[in-house]
Amino acid sequence: MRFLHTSDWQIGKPFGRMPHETASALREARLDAIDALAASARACGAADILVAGDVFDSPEPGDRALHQVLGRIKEDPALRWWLIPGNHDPARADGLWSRFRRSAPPNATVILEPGVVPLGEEAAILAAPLSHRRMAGDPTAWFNSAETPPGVRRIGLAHGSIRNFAGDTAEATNLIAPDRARRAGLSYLALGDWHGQLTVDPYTAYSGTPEADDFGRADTGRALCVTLAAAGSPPDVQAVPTGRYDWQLRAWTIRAAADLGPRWAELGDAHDLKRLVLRLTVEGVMPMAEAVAARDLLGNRLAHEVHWLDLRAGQLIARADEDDFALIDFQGPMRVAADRLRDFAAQGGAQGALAIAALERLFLEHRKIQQGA
Amino acid sequence: MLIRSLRAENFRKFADIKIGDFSDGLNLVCEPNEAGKSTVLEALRAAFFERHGANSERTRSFRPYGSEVAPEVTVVFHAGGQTWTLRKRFLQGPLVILSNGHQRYESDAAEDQLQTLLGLGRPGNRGPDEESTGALGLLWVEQGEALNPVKPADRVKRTLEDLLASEVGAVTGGPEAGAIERAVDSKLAALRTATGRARGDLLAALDEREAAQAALRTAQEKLQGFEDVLQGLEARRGELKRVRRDLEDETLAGHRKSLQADLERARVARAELTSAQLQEQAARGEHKAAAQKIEQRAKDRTARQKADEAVAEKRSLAARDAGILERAAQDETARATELADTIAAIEAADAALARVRQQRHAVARQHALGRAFQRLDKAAPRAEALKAKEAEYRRNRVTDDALKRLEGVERRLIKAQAALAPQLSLLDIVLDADAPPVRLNGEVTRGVLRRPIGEPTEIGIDGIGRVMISPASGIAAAADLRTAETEMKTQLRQLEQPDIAAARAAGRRRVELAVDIKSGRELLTADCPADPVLGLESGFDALRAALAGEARPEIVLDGPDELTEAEAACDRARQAERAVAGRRDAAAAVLREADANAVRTAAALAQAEASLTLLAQALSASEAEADDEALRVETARLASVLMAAIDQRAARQAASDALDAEHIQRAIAEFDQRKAKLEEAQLEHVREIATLEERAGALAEAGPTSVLAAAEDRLAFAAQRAARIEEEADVLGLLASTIKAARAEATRRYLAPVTTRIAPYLGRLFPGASLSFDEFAPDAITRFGRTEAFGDLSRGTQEQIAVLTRIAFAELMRANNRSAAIVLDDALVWSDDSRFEAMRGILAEASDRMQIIVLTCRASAFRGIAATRLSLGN
Repeated sequence: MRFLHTSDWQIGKPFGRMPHETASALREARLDAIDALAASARACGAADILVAGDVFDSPEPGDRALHQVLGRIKEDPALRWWLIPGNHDPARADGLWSRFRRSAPPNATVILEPGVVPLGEEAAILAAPLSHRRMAGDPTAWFNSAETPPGVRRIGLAHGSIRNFAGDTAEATNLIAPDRARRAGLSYLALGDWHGQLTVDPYTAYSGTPEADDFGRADTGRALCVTLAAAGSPPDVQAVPTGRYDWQLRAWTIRAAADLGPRWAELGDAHDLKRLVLRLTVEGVMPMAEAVAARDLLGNRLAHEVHWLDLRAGQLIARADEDDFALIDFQGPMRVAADRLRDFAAQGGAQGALAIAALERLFLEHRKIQQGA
Repeated sequence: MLIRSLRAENFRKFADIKIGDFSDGLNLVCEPNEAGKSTVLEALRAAFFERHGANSERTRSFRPYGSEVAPEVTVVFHAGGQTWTLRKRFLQGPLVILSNGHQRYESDAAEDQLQTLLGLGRPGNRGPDEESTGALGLLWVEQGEALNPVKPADRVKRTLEDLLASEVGAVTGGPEAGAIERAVDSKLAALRTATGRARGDLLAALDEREAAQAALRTAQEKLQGFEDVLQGLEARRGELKRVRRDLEDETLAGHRKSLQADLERARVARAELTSAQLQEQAARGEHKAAAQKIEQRAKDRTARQKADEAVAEKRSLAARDAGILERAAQDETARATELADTIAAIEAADAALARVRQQRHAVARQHALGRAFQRLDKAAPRAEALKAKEAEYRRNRVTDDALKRLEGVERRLIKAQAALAPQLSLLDIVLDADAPPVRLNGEVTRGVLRRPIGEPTEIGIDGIGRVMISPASGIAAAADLRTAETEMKTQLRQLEQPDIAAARAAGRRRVELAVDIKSGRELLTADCPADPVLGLESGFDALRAALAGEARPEIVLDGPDELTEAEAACDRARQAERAVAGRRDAAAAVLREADANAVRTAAALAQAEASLTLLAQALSASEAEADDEALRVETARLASVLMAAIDQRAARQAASDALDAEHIQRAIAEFDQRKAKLEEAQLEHVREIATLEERAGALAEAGPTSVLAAAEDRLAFAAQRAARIEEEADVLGLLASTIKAARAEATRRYLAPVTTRIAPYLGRLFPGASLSFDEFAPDAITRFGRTEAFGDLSRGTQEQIAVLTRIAFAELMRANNRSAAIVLDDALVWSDDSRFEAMRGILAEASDRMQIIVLTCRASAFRGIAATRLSLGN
């Protein structure tokens, strides 16, 4: 008995805080993840794909998103898809899932009520779909007492946290007992909600999202290929890659523009730059010329090498000193202006920051003139 | 640079003119208006600043009006230590040649060399604007432009700055500084307007942020709408469930059933009550009929008794009346006979009376006839006298009218005579004794003669002639007199009177006659009165006629009084008849009454007998049907039946009252109404649910939650971008304003040499005054502690200061070995005499150090000034 475990597709996520091109590529990648999952299932010989909630990013993503998903699902009729709603797309009367069910192809089964659904002849799914974004109590509590025919393997399919990630236990919602698999006699408990892949115990795992969608999550862009062993033995769980984009978070402290080169090379060695979605925080205090050069390098060269660079250079601080002035050789009114700006900058505050930026701009314009001359 | 000479061919109004040679100092070109002074300046500018190949509106304007020839300008000038000849031709076959003794440049090379000599860059295609004319443009002032303050363009400004900087020993930052400033300005201008309003990318970013905010609000509203629909749907489903539960409630159905049963029972009780009421009513009727029957029988018996009595009474009355009638008839017959006798007696008495009356009439007539003859005898003589007077009256024609006419004629006659008499002139003839014979009206007159002249008079003197005298009025008066006399005669003849006195007497006689006739007639009528006995009317003629056929009677005595007796007998007979007739009338009345009574009593008797018969018949029939006992027994039975029916009805009433059908029906109606409402509500809910499902589907289609998420992202993105661009604009703004302030400060510092140079001249015009500049333009003048804005000064003052400023700039350039000529076209036109005097001095003084060319129409104004005087020569 082998199946593929996935969750948190979050179809329809807008990525609207990014430039249009980037956002549309990322949206497309999430849809393509469904194809990647189908390919993975075929590759590992699994006929069933269990989707542990959050198929859609929001409870009403619209007909386009709905039919895009349906279109991908029905492409291979040999694969059977088992889906439950999660906290992002909870089931509700007359909602998304009602329409999904009406238009679903024969190879897709949406489970909207908690209950036992046969999975072939030798297994049954104990499904715990969510009907609200937040539900009090453990949606899998009833698994313990759920009845299944003797000899049928019990596979749990649920969406929620096994611990309160916020660290506050008082208001836990959709909270699943970590030992649910053992207590309910499950052969495997397929969980969704956590975007990074996470193994809770040999019988319990989060598959993580098949396509990364945020920075700072380890082990994303995967699915789990689960093979049930003989009763009493833990299943064999293998991670299979499905993601396209590599979301990375970096913070570098530099003293000169030249410091960027080696670090960038290092990043290129570890990651495929063209698939990289990078949030880079660069900080450091350096001479005006260095700051201008560093910004120029980051904004005008390195940013184009990755899929998207989310550059945070607010703390890249230029320090205008006499050397800079000498270097640039200001005379006359320009010198007077530069001196004034430096005086403003020394006063600090928002106006000071603005003065530094203006000063930097003065250097930049000066350099452009020199380069053009 | 110094200008030596100028030649212009086919240039505007010049076919071919030449002017020169200009000296190094002050040059005056004095020409009247319209001579072409301004064209001289235009030709200079064309030579130096227009590219020869330019085909612009401006170069085309160089052609003489309506001509297609090629304008050409040749200038000889001194620059860079050498003397150059510049020749430029425009439009047809354009050319440029620049040469000195040993160098010659043509075409673009010549243009470039010219620019170098002038210290200018390459001229643009826009013509001699401020950028391409450089400092020379600043110093060459066109007619009417002297008033405007110097406002050099950027490049000129920088040239001036450089000159100034070298004087004050400061650095300007070179061309780089200007380039930076321009770059910053243009980038800032792309984001914000001069007044600080957003534009370009910034405006777009701000607009996008606003649009994103609006989109977010819309998305929130849409989602809220969607949520509302879903909530409405849920609420409706709950309602529907409740309605269905209520409809299916068993106990309610049971209640309805028991109500229905109650209603049935109530209906039965009501029917039974109605039936009992009817039965009671029937029993009551039967009992009443029986009781009435007994009563009727007793009444009938009493009536029959009364009828018997009535018949007996009527019979006795009838008998009595028959007796009375018989007696009355006999009496009446006796009275009638008596009356007939009496009437016969009256007839006899009447006949006797008639005879007597006849006799008395004959006697009376005889008496009357006798008296009538006596009256005729007395009246006959009077009638004869009267007849005679009437005949005389008829003969007399002198009526009152005739007499009046006659008297009128008499008056005219007298008047005519009178008129004739006093108008007569007197003719006095006094003849000498020995006078020849004189004839008056043919008569010979002698001696003295006096004669009135009433008619034409002729005096004839023999041997001499005749004198005719015709009095004027005498003829008419004589005619009138003759007429009156004729008429008098005629009238008298008609009246058959001899003269007027006789006529008057006749008139009086006629009046007397009329009076006599009238009284005579009256007397005669009184003597002959009417006599009824004879049937005679009054009047003499009637009397005479009536008696004409009668004989004069004998004297007759009165006879015995037979008439009185006969009349008494008649009266007596009549009185008797009256008495008998009265008795007979009374008897007839008694008979009529008796007869009427007898008829009446007979009718009453017949009626009484008939009613008795009917009563007897009815009574015997009733008695045959049921005797009195049977009738009593039946009535008692019917009374007990009635009592039972009343009891039954009361019982039914109570039973019916206990079950109020209306109340039950109302309860059922209310129940049914509620059920109908529930069913209606059920339908409404089903319908509404379908509608809401449809709407939910429609709203979900767009994906309201993902639209909201996208809108939130869009706003965040737009806000971030707007903030970034705003910051960029702020940075650029700060940079630009800082640079501007620094430059302004520097300029103020650099302008010191200009101020210094202008000070002595200014002192001569405006003692104690100092001038301040905004950049290179005069800004304000301070005199005696009072500062006035340049724009507020009088035109003359503004113009003078503008010229001084130019002299100062020219001196500044000269100090930097870049000497330039000042050209003033009709400047100082606003200056008063004393200021003009001062300015003239200043120009003369300045011309010691620089070339100044003044084009003016005021030759006299510059008289006495040491200057090279030139004129436009062909």
